[in-house]
Amino acid sequence: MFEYLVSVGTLAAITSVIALGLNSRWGLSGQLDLGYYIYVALGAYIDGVLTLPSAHTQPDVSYILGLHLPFLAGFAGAGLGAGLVSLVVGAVALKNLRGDYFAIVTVAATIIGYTVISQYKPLFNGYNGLYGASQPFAASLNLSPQGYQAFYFGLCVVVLVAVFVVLELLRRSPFGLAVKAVRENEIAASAFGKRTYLLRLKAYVIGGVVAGLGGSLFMHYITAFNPASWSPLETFLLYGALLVGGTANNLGAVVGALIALIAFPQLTQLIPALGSNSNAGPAIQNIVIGLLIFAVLLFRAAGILPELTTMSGQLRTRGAWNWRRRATGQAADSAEPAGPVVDPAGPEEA
Amino acid sequence: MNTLLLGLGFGLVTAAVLAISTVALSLQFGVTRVPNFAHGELMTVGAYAAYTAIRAAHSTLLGAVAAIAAGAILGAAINKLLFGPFRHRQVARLTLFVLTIAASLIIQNAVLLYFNGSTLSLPLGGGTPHKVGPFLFTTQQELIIAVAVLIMLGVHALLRYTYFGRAQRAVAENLSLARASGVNAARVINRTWLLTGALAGLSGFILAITTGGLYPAMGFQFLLVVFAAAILGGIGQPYGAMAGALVVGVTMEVSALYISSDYKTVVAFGLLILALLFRPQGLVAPRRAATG
Amino acid sequence: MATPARSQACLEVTDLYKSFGGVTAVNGCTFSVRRGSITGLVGPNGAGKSTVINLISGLIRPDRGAVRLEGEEIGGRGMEWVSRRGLVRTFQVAREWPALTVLENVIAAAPAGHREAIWRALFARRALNAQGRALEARALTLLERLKLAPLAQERAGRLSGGQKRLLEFARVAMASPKIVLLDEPLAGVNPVLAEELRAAITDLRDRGATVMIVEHNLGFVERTCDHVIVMATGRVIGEGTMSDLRRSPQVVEAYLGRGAAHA
Repeated sequence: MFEYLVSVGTLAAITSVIALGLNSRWGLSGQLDLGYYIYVALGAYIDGVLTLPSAHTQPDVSYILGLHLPFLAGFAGAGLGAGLVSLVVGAVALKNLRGDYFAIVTVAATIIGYTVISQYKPLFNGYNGLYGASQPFAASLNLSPQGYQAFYFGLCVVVLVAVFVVLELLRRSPFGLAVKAVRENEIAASAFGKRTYLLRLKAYVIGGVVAGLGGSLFMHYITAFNPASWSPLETFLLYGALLVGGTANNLGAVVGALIALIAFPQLTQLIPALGSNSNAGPAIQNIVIGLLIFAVLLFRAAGILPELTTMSGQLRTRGAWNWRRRATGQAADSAEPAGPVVDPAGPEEA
Repeated sequence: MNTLLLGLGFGLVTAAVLAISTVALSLQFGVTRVPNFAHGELMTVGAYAAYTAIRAAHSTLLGAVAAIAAGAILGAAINKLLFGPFRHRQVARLTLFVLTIAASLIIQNAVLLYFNGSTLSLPLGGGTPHKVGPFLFTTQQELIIAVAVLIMLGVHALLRYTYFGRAQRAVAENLSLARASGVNAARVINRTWLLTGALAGLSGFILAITTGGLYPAMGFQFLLVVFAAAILGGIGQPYGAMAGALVVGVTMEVSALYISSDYKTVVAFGLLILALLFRPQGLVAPRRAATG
Repeated sequence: MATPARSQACLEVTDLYKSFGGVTAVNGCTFSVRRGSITGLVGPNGAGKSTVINLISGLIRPDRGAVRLEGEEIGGRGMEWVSRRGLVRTFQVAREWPALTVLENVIAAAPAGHREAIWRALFARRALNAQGRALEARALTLLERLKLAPLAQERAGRLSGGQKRLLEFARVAMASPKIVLLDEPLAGVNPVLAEELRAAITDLRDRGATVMIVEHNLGFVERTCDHVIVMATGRVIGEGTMSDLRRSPQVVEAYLGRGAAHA
């Protein structure tokens, strides 16, 4: 029982970190990134090729680097690497694309990444992927297997708390306010001097860094990572988590990840008839997410971004923050239709 | 030179399948202004409907009919059930786009659930290749290209010479003006979805034939290739869609001569990204009135 | 017709041209705005007034011509840059940040460049908080003046149209601009609110900003502006006080059509 809890807990912590990264892009910055998971994967792979020994030592295995560095180097490298790729992709994609066209490009980019990683063996060992990742600090700690699991769980929680604190600080800072302003109405933000492109790009890169860190934790938890462990569609599950938890809100992201991670599998186990179909679990999950999205959009006519407005003030207990004043008003939607700055469809308004 | 021609030949076949689907997307986008993320599912459902029909009745023709019907019904369903509740609200285009994502999730996984996920095979003998001009085609491939050409001509005739066609173009070009001129926009939109669904469903069936198999994600994987063709050609422009399909299809297949064919879709996506970055209005620029 | 001397000009527009696909919206537009004035920009529909505002503020690029702010060339630059140089504008459509509170809307409007750095958010929190409190106090004062203070914690998206207009003034004032361009601030506004806006406008001027107003409501323009520029068919056809302009045949003709001037 204890082992089961620790195991689920570790996965929950890692998923929460990953969800927080997505929240930086979608929740804070309003970028519909449908290809987010590629950065988690990159984090896992980069950590792998930094911490694993050289590929030459094993027959029929091929990957770049293989520097056999300690965990911390792999961890940091994963975040940095994913951040760098985010910088390159974001610099290009965020220049002129918005809304749905941006989303489409992110899917395309992710599938390209997925295909290249799977097909080009010398990079990350293709379909077989990387395996045999080390257990961080295992040698110096000398714990029993259960003890180590607990330790790793603790490590993930520490990372989660650190990431959460940093992201909350950013969200409540002038930087966060500026990013939100760009999200809410880009033209107005421009009109008040905000450097919209840079702000968007920074939020995008932050999301990438966090994704990379999450991927690193994931790598050392499962100790293996290959194209079968992820698909470009993983991102949708994360969005489901954000939806459930309440977007734009880091606490909501964590809550959503926990609910989605724990509730969904339990849910699918309740339906016995589908036991035979191994695809049933994920399939039902995705259907539920689809229905959830539809329901949320239908009933929160406002839109899918119900930020708990003075959440930032809540914990500072400033003024008369009223829980019941949760907004149901017209958020981003009615102000103006969102669309790409460069719009292949032509301008929407006259 | 021979291999290049071979590549070109394959390119034409791919372009044929692509063209039908892309025209369908463009017609729909023209009147809704929302890229339909579930467009691939129209194809998937068409393919599976055809498969079921062929298994039951052993008739390819019935399969095609089933594909068309299933696609049309699904198209109408998306229009009525998904977009319907939001029709009278002022919702952002992004919200509608996200709705299509929801639809894609639901439909694709419903298919996965019902058909149990494994790849089904649809072996419809292609016949032996023979020379047609400088190319080498099987009868099946010739048929596919012929069907595509016929459909292109049919769509052209529809747009040019029928009331619906003119109304569709009017709505696509300027909704308020069309309405003011007495066009029943709602009816045009409904019918466009039927047409889009029908064509997409058929294209799904043909896709299954060319690849020899079906799986639940087949439409989704083709989706971005269709987007690439549509955006390259000028999204919302049916004629551009044909041009875009040709360019993407041929480029994909010719590229497979020089780099591993596993990267075919990567090439298509590359075109998509390039199109969005450098020429988002497409090859066939829309005839939009200048706004002051 | 007095045009302001160069040294007194806050904003100078010289020979501005802009056409969209075949339609020339701005056709050689030239004028100056005197520092510290409230200048009106009027003209019949299609005169190109909004386009000129869009050109000056950097929303669109001019085909030809120059725009100078306090002597510095700003033509062709983007809105972000122009705004940071001290030229702030409002829009005909309300462009509040809906999910942010009213208070946040005002605070975020303040020029804040260096405060928005990421490293500061993590490592210079004390300084940021101190500055933040000062900004908040200033924002609340501005909101009080516009009688919006009770709504400070409301989501801006839930405000009424009139309240959003007032919020816009708070934001503009917060930006401490050199010059403010108001694009049809009275569109759809009732007379009571119009007077409140007028007070807000003169307040802006009294605090050192130059104001330019694009408006159709000529009565309001007469009461509020000390100088009026008339545009028609993309260029300036007259300027001066309202009484000057009423006596100008070109202006009358532009508004009422040929024949009216000679009536």
